[in-house]
Amino acid sequence: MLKNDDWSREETDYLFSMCREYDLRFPIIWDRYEWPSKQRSLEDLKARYYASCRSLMELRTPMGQMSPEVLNQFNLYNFDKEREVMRRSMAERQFNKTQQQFAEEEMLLTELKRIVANQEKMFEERRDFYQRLNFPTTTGSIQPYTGSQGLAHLRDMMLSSSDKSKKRKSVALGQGSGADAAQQTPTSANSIDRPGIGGSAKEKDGKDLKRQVRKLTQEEEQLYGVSYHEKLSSGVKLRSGMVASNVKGATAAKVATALTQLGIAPRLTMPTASAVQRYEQLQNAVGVLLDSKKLLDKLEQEARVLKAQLELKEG
Amino acid sequence: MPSSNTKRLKGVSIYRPIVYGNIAVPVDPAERPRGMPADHTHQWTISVKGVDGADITHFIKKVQFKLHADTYANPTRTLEHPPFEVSESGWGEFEIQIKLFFHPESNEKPLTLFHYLKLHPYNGDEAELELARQQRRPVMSYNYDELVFNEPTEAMYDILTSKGSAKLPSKGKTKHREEFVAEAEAVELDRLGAGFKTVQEHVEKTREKLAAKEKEVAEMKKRLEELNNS
Repeated sequence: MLKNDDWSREETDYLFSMCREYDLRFPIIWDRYEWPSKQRSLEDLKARYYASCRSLMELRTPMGQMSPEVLNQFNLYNFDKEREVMRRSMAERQFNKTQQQFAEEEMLLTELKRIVANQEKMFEERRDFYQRLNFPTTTGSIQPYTGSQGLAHLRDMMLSSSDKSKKRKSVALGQGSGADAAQQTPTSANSIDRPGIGGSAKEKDGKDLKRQVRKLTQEEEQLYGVSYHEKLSSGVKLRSGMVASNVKGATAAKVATALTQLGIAPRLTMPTASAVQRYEQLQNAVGVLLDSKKLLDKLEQEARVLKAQLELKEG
Repeated sequence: MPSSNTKRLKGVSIYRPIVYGNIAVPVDPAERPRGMPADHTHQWTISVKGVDGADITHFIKKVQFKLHADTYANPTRTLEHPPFEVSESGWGEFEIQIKLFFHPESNEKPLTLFHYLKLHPYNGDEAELELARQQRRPVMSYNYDELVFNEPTEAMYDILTSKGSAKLPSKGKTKHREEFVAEAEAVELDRLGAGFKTVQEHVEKTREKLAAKEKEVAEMKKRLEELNNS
């Protein structure tokens, strides 16, 4: 167990005698150490010494029977030569560094920090930009989408705006990156941004959950003008344009005339929700009135005919 | 970071009142501003604003006014910041196209409305109009309307339920001389209600007449049948 191909029994004994003589002061031991045909480094000596000690300890008491203190000692003697060599060489390099090199290193570190920070800003900007692409205005010309780069943007835009499953989206994007490889600028731009898009999507999901929980009080609903309806056609509209016309053509004209007779302008001064509702109600009523008048006219006509027939028969 | 919630909220409707229109002031020939063309008779300002000066920038991004193309150089005037208004001088009335642009979060297309620029007094009888002309009274033609956001995007819902208000101010509590107040709505509702009542009365009367006529017709038919059978 104590055997080592590199170390003879005699040299080991010599090492131990030196250790005894200089009381384990390894730098001194290394300084005085002289053994023919062998060049030992400080670490070599230490490694041999501790390894021997450990072996001896284990030979005297098997590891399982060692008392905690002894076991502690035993573990402390575990000397990792490789690491120690590395540590020393690193320390040496640090020691040999000039002031100039230090300054340079510091500068490089700050530079790195700056680049990382800028990168985040760039991601942010790019995300912003992509978001903008999500809302194409109808008035925009097609000019931005004519180049190859523009087409790539357009594709991304269409992919992200379609509410299809995310899986499909990511698959499509994966395929897209292959095609992009041929074009240089868009590739780098897109590939950088993709994790960003994924991230924001995740964030969105989180917000969705929160949103569903969010409820307004009745007061808030009144203050902010929020109402809930069964059926709605989405989009922004003018309230004045939301008057449902349940009358058509000639009848509509008649209704309008009737309303004018009532002193009600065809245009509401205050087209609020309740005003529009009342206006519709009124319009309906006028419709009913017109219908019943028509019916009355018909009946009167019939009555006249009947009367004439009766007079003929009776007379 | 702006939220990218383009999902629309089903069944939700949110509105905001707006006021648009113009004020026009006749130019006093004695105090004609320098640089104004000789044939221009009025100075006017067209604007889009909130009721009683309320902020509308949380839902309106920009406003575009299209003026009479033959009269005004660069007739399309775009305003990205409040006040959303254009002041000009001129001699004639014409229709101005107003295009409202909404914030990208809303995912809404621009909304177009029209306003007929009023320069001359139009309210009241002939004597009143003449008096208004002689006194060079300012002419105002403002319209109240409401922008109804049906099924807004989540982002827009957030904005509209945290900023601004849909409520109309009360008459005594306005900061400006505001005509579009809660009382004005009440007056309108009353007028509509009164109209409805009148119509209902007419319907009732017509129903009665109908019933009477039906009875008459039925009786006459019976008599006619009796005569035919005999």
